[in-house]
Order: sequence, then C-alpha cells, then structure tokens
Amino acid sequence: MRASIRFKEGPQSIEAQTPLAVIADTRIIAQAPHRLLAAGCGDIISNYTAVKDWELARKLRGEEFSEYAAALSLMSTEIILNAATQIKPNLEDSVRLVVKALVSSSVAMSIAGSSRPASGSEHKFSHALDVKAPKPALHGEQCGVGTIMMAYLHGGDWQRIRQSLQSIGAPVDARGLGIKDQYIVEALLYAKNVRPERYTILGEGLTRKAAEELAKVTRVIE
Amino acid sequence: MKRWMLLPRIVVMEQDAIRDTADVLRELKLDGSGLIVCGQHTCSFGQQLAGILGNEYPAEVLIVGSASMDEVERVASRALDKNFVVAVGGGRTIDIAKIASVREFAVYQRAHSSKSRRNRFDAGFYTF
Repeated sequence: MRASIRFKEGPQSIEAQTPLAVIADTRIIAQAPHRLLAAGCGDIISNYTAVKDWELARKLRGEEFSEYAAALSLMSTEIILNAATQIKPNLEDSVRLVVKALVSSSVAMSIAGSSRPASGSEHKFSHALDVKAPKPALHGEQCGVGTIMMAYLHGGDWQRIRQSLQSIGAPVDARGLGIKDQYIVEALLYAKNVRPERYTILGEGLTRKAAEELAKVTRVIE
Repeated sequence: MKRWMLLPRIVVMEQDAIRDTADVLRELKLDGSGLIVCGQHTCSFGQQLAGILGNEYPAEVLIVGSASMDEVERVASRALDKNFVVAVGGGRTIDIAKIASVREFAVYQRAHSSKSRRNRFDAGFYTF
C-alpha cells in the first residue's frame, strides 16, 4: 500500500502499511460537515475515469490489468451515482452508503496491489491543482471536477457524473472549488507531469487550446 | 514473498463503533500501550478513544498537522516504544500513520535486530 505526502516539489507516493483494521463510526461521520462526505463521494466517483484510464493503459501499454479489481472499483462508483439523490447532510444512512462504497473501493486497490483502480487522470488533475492553485480545495472535491473533464475526454457520460455530484452537493466547477479559471487550465496542462509512469488519457498532455476547450465544454470554467 | 492481496482483517461500521476499539485490539491479540494519531479537528475523538481504551490499552494522543515527512518522522519516533498505532481522522491523518508505521518498523528492526517481530496495528477512523 502507498500513501501521499506533500513535498515542496509536489505530492509523492510513499510506501505505507495496510491497516489491520478499519473502524468507521457512522454517528461521528454523520455529525461532520456535509462538505467532507460530499468530497468523499467525489473521490469514489473518480473510479469511473480511473478504470477507463487503466483499460487504456492495458490496450496501449500492455499494462497488467485485473478484471476483478476493475469490476469492484466500478461497483463503488455505481453505488454512489445511483444513490446520488439519497445522499443528504447529517443522515446516517447516507454515511453507511458512502463508507460501504469507500471500503469496496479500497478492497479493489488491495486486490490490484496499487491505487490503479481508483486513481487515474482525474487524480493527476487534483494533484496538479494542489501544486498550481494558491488555495486548493478538498482532494475529493477536486477529483470530482477532474472526473467530469476526464470522462469527457474518454467519451464517457460526463453529464451523469456532473448531475450526480451536483445533487450530492459537491462542487462541479471552478467557482464551486473557489479556484480561479486560469489555475484550472494550468492544472490541466501540468497534470501529465504527476506520476508520469502512470499512463492515462492525458498521454503526452493537452495543448492550451484543448485544455481551455475541455474546461469550457464541461462547464468547469466560463 | 510477493503478496497477491493484502487486506485489513477487521472492518467495523456502525453507530458508536469507537467504543468497539478495545474489542478490535483484543481480537487482533494485541496488548500493551499504543499511540493515537489524530488531526486538529479530530483530537476530541482521539481523547475520547484514549478514555475508552483506559488502563487495558494505555495510549498517548498525538496531534498531527500537514502531510509532510517531518510529521511522519515525528509519529514514527513516538511509536517506537508502542505496540500499536490508531489513526483517528481523515485521509491526511491516516496517511501519516500508515507511512510512519513502515518507518517505525525499519527503525525498530535496526535497534532490536535480535528481538522478534511485534504486532503492529493501525486502524483508520473515517471521522472528522
């Protein structure tokens, strides 16, 4: 297992210990600000594009792929997308749903032996924002917005992703993230440099024109 | 050994699950003292947990800040004389504890090369 640590040059993935146990107290989580649960949903919805990136890497780079891990990872995303309208603030049932999805997403990563099933181009975008934006938003919030744009690049159903995030109460654009449009474009351009060994739809990177177009078409910037 | 899968052994999800922590430790056959790592906003739950663990599992509570290697090293050094680590909080806190757990073991092995492996434990509370 690996975990992310911030260095001056940006985030890095470091060797970490798999926990022996996970204890989720749904009462405590339900009392937390809804913004945090919504961000967790963004992190799970990421699996939608992470799996598409993984499939691409398998086809174009011959990367090792696990059907089992990919299916489980997509199931987590489906749980959240299908239940988006039921995820409400300070509701314990919502917490259970999100924790369940988070656990199956984690199991998918444990099976794959890497974060590949749950972290692709949308995570690269989020980490790039951490580097480029003066005041980044929450990790999961940024991943959610990244998923909208990367789903568009993959020819996926980005509108469904956007609608679900919106109904959960997670940000879907630059304004919602509290980040200026220019940094969204900068992050899109920089994203390919984050974990370059992990192949995604970003490939060799976007041109500035393509990045601006992508952010505009998906209504992330105005 | 190359492991195909490495999974947590126990996953608990319920109301007031924080009170089950001692049971979880017992089921994992852990004993002795531990380190509770928490974030700024979750330290009240860290303190609460220390109270729940009581005399059976005396625990020191440590509040961590940014997800930096300095914080990882600080946690690793404080974990040296402990038998388990429990992370209480969100992604940052849990990530620091998971990495510190690897570092701490490396330091421990160098210092006690003749002693047997200890059990180590880090649990994640998804609380904020």
